[in-house]
Amino acid sequence: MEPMRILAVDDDPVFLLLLEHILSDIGYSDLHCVGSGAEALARLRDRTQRFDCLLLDIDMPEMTGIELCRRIRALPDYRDTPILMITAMKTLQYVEGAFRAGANDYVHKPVDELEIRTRLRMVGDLLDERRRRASVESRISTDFGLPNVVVSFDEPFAINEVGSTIEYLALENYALTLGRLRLFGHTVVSFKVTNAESIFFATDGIGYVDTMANVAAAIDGALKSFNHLIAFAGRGEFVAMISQRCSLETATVQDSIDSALERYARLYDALGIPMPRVCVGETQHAGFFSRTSVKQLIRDARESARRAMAVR
Amino acid sequence: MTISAIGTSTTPGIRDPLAGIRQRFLALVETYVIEVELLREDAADPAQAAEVMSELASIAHRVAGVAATLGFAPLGDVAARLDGTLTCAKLNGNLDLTEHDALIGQFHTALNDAVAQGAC
Repeated sequence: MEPMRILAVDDDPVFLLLLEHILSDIGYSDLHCVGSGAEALARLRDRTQRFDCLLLDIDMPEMTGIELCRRIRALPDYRDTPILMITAMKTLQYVEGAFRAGANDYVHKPVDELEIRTRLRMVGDLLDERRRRASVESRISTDFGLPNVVVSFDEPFAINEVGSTIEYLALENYALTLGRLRLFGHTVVSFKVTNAESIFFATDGIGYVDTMANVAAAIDGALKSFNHLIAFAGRGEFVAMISQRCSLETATVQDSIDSALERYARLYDALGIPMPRVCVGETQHAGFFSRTSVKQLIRDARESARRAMAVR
Repeated sequence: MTISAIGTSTTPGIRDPLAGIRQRFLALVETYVIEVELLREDAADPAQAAEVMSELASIAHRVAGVAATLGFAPLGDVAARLDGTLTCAKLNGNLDLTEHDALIGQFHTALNDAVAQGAC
């Protein structure tokens, strides 16, 4: 794993000293610290030094960590840079706000060495995977002289154009931060693009990502009366988390998605890409007294969407 | 990682790597003791309630973020509770600080205890 250059932003100088000590102890010595969002943005705009990972406190005066995260995501060089929010704030509003603003993960204060070591190791794995993928894309671009995006049919990828979409890993991390009581108050539902494989083989990486982005927008519209987050999970499947315990009128949601996608019918016909067809799974809820894991909940939701596809 | 022993290591000659940070934190805690006292007095004026609540939450938030790791777990615990309580109250528009006076008092006591422990 390559060494990571990390920028930490917190208005508490004692915390930054402690963080420096802890990260150095676990092998992350290239840590840079600033005390405000304004200082952070100034450092990030300096293109002579590039940061691989950002650690942001949420509760800061003048510019909160959530606002800072939003502004960082608007910087071209930092659209995809892993951002971990570090904070003592546990209210749901802040957790969800952080992920909506583009955070990838969320770590609690006081910092637990094992937790932050695990999180940063995952960031390192993610960065290694991106470097590998960028290398492949660069080779394809060089060999064939064409811009290209390499996506795997089975793997999740980020959809950036739709407001409520976040990365799949971020959605899992968001669900894991909720705890049993809050997870009980959420609803998970999955959507499957039934002809995703046909679309994948009918177009290139960019075309496939664009098509999935259109599906994400349709799902987003169908769920607009709920506070929700959506992520693309791979294999033509989307997972949505709604921050209330509810049952959806599957037929109504299905109609809304079909209508939204129908607007693109001529475009897809002209491009020779199959029109995406979407199936809606049954809503899933965590039990309160039974320990339902987040992974199990999401797995059940995705299975339900696959069963709905088999029936349709 | 939580440091349970405060002050010097039990093994002679082995430096406590957090000693410097802990001393800096305790210097701040001494100022927080006075600030919280003054804020409790200001809380009697309803016109200052919002500002007092914000400042108390800010102090509690800072303490909650580092206290346990530096060996002051009880202080960290009450700071986290106060931070969470005041944050929720602010979100709900409830600026009545008298409801939280007992918890603020516990926080003030825990700050004093930490200063006393650090002096040992």
